[in-house]
Amino acid sequence: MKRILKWGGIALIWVGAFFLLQALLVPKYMDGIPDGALVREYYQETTEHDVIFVGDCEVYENFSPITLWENYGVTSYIRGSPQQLIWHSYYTLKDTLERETPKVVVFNVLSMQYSEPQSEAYNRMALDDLPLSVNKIQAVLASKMEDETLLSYIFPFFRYHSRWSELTASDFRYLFHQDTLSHNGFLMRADVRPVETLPEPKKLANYQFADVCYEYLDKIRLLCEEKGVELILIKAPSLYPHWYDEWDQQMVDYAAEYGLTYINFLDHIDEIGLDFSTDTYDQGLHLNLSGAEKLSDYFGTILREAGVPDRREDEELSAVWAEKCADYHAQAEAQYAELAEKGYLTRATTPGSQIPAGE
Amino acid sequence: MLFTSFGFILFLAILFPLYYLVPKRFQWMLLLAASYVFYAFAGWGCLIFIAVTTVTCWYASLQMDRLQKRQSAYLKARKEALTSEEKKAYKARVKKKKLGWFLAALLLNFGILAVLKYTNFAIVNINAISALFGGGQLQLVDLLLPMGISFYTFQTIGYVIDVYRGKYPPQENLPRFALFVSFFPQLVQGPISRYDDLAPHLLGEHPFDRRTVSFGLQRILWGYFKKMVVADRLLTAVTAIIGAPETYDGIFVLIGMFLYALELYADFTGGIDITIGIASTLGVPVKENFIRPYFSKNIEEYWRRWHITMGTWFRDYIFYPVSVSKPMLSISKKSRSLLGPELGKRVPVYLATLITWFATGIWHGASWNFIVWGLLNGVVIIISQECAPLYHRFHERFPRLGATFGWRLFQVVRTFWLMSALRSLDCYRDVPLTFSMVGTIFTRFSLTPLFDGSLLELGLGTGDWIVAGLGCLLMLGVSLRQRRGSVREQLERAPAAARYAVAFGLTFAVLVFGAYGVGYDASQFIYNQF
Amino acid sequence: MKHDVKKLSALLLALMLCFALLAGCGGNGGNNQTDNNSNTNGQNSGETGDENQETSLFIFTSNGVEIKMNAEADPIVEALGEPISAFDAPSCAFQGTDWIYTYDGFQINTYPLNDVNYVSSVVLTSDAVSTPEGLEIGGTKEDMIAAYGEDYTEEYDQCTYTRGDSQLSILFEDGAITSIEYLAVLPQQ
Repeated sequence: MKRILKWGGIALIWVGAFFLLQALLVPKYMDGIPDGALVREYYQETTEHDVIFVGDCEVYENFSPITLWENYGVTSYIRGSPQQLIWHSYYTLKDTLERETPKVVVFNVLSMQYSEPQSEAYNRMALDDLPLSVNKIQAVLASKMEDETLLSYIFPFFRYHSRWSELTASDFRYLFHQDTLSHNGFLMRADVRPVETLPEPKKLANYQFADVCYEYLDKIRLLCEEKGVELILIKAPSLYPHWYDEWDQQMVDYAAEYGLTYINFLDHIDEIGLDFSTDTYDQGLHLNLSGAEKLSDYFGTILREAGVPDRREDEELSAVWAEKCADYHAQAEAQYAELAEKGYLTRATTPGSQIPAGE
Repeated sequence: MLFTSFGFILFLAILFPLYYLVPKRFQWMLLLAASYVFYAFAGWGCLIFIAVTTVTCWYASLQMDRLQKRQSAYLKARKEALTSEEKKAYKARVKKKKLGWFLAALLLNFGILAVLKYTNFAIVNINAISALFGGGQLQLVDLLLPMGISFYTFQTIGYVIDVYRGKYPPQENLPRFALFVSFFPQLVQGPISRYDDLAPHLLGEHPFDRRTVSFGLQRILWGYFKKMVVADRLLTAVTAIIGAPETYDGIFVLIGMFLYALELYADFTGGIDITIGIASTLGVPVKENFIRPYFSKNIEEYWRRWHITMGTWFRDYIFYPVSVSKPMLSISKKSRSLLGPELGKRVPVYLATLITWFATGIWHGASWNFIVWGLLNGVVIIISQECAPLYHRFHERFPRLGATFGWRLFQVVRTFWLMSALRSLDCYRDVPLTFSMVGTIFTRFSLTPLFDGSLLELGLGTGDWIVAGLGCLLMLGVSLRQRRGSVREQLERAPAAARYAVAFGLTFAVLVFGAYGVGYDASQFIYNQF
Repeated sequence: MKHDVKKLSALLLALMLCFALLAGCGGNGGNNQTDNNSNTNGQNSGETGDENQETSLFIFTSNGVEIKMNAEADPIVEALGEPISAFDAPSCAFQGTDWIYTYDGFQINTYPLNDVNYVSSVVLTSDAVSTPEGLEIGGTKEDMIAAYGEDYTEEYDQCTYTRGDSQLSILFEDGAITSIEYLAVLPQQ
């Protein structure tokens, strides 16, 4: 008995030390790349959402849930991460639908063009903060690059141990608690960098999306059907990377085949009122704050038509969202002030390296 | 399956409990199965090679033994009937047959090794000669080099030679013999064990012994520390230096030698620590391969303390036989009549030394770098033997100097740098480049790179240098403690809190500072390739 | 008896050594330990072979400026002069910026590695330019084979030649070349 106690105690201390070190070593994305914090923040939500966006930066930079709330009373959350590939999206959505049942799921189809994992860093940002579950393990197995291990996703310690030499004060400061950086998954950028020129898109030999992407699109569709959620496919109005007509047609055909709504916002730029000399912060890749608000306002009508209710009468929700709105406007004001003063956003131009580069 | 991979740890984690749960008489079978599973991870193709070596050497040894036994029985039965002439003739016939089996086993297995390891080396050289005469060029061939082939081939050949010499009877049971050839901890990088040392333990029964297992685990941990925290970290800097000789000349060559010495030591002894540690947790003692080699006071001593099992292999199976071979005896005779008894006696020894070192060199790798490296080792040993009278006279003049700490330190440092300089041959691309790089130490010497931040451009940050430095100091400290006996036994006497602190500290040092995972190349143990 | 055995084994071992000796004679050796990790130096030991490969890479030239795949991009862009346009496409979450330089008749694409930009592809965009071997947009498959031979792979009307770390991809529509692209085979990251 005494021996069991002794060894149990030792094991406990060891495990405690391990998890403490792990918490210290994993990147917290508090200064530097806010995109990495997106997945984690969803799990701090206290209320449910009627609309869930799923996709890559073309959703989390281009749509503002706050605008949807303020203008339409629509509660929404963006489950996006940088270059979120379609299998990331599927498993993220699956995880989400196990927690809540929205009315509408909006999926941005840009990732249909990628049939293989592209980068370890993006895998990490998409998967690290998914809570441990069978779903997560399946997600890792579907996403991991050749030299990545499942174990290092279950215990990120084994991935980030080499960050010991890069630890900063912020790693200690945010050891147990991290700030919320996004606004329901939306990352705000108020600065402007107009579109001046766009490179001519190069011709492709094969425009057909890969089978594996269709498989996951089917899975997303079936999952939504199963949960009784309407799936809306969209292509966000980002001008680059180029969205080929041949690609667009495939999505139009897919939507028609399964009776889904597919909106290519690139066809509605004038109706939305987007002006790419003021509404983008990086020459047309992403919308800035004003662009995102215009797009969200436009999309709100469509969501309303799809039957998403106005929840502004709900007191509990209103209270939660009032706080969110206040944060949102405070950050917007701060960004505009910084821009007026300095002409640029410090945060946007000085990324700190969070994921040590593979050598 | 690398020692440093998660897969290997998992493999051990499954094997250990099984090993002590199965009935004791099945333990060796489990080890055999585990060894083949381990080897299969290196590729199914490799299994064929180790199986061929196992079966041929086992069978040839059995045949040699049968011949010998039949001879004894035959002679015993006809003790009276045969004349001594007839006996001699019979013995000669048996000997010839025995030699046949012996040669067959040797040629086949050395042949496999030679073809797999040296074909491309031969082709490169033939091409170079052919190019001189404007001849055609042969294509290099893509050959598989089975993991650890040099190690298990040598270990097995040693066994065949021993059986041939009648040192011990052969192993009749093929699976048992297969375990001796393939025992997985030492398959990758040695030590090269002797059958009579290893087999009784391998095949014996091993009840769980807390102390041996715990000592084994400690040793494994220490090995991982050396390998993953020190060696793999330093490797980055070493690779940077030797990878860009045009940038890193002069003092960098010295720095490179120094770092490579530390890196190789940490890597190789770390690997051996893991090997011996694993074997120990299985209750199998494996011969030590290193005894603090960098504390050696001369090169001969160094080679008695570095990669010991390889050195003794070459001594027992090449140096001695070559020294007493017929051609060597006739050379000895001639040289004595030509050069007088003193020098004449030494010539054949030196010749045997050079042959042995040539073989050692080429065993290390199929390149001229290693051949020159081996021969230079031989040359240095010969020179130091030739100079022995000089040293002797020097010490007679200064009788008290030899005992001083300063003098011993000088000897140790001298030997360290001498060996490090020779070792630079296995860093640079080819022999001429190596010599010219060593030359730049004298022609382009400058101390400024030490202070102008160049060291931070070798791929290691300040933190890495500190960790590597502290790791090296720890290794030095442990070596110094070792002179007073087993460090683990000393640790055993320390208070429990201290023991756990050491275990925790080392474990987390390996986990945090170890070079593994994405961002680190899982650099293989350097000796895998031999 | 025992003595004889010793002598015999000595002889044998000496034989083995001769075998080993025969295996290697003259010339300069190649591989060694550390090289094996990168394997780049080992390849350099076949010097003549290397040179051949060098001359046979696919290299686009414009006004005498060579644009090699995986070459550092900034000096090339400087030598070529001011492009018609330069477009930077930062990837999400600051994982590096790709650049696209548009010149009259062709486009240069780059990728970043350790803060340096390298050429990832050159795309010929009009028949105003042609490859050094004389192939241009609007040409035929016969032209392509005449210029580059038969050693290509074909997929979806696109023919690809590979030499060293460079590829040349030629796309056909209705029998005419509509796109010519030089592609870098990316180094392992």
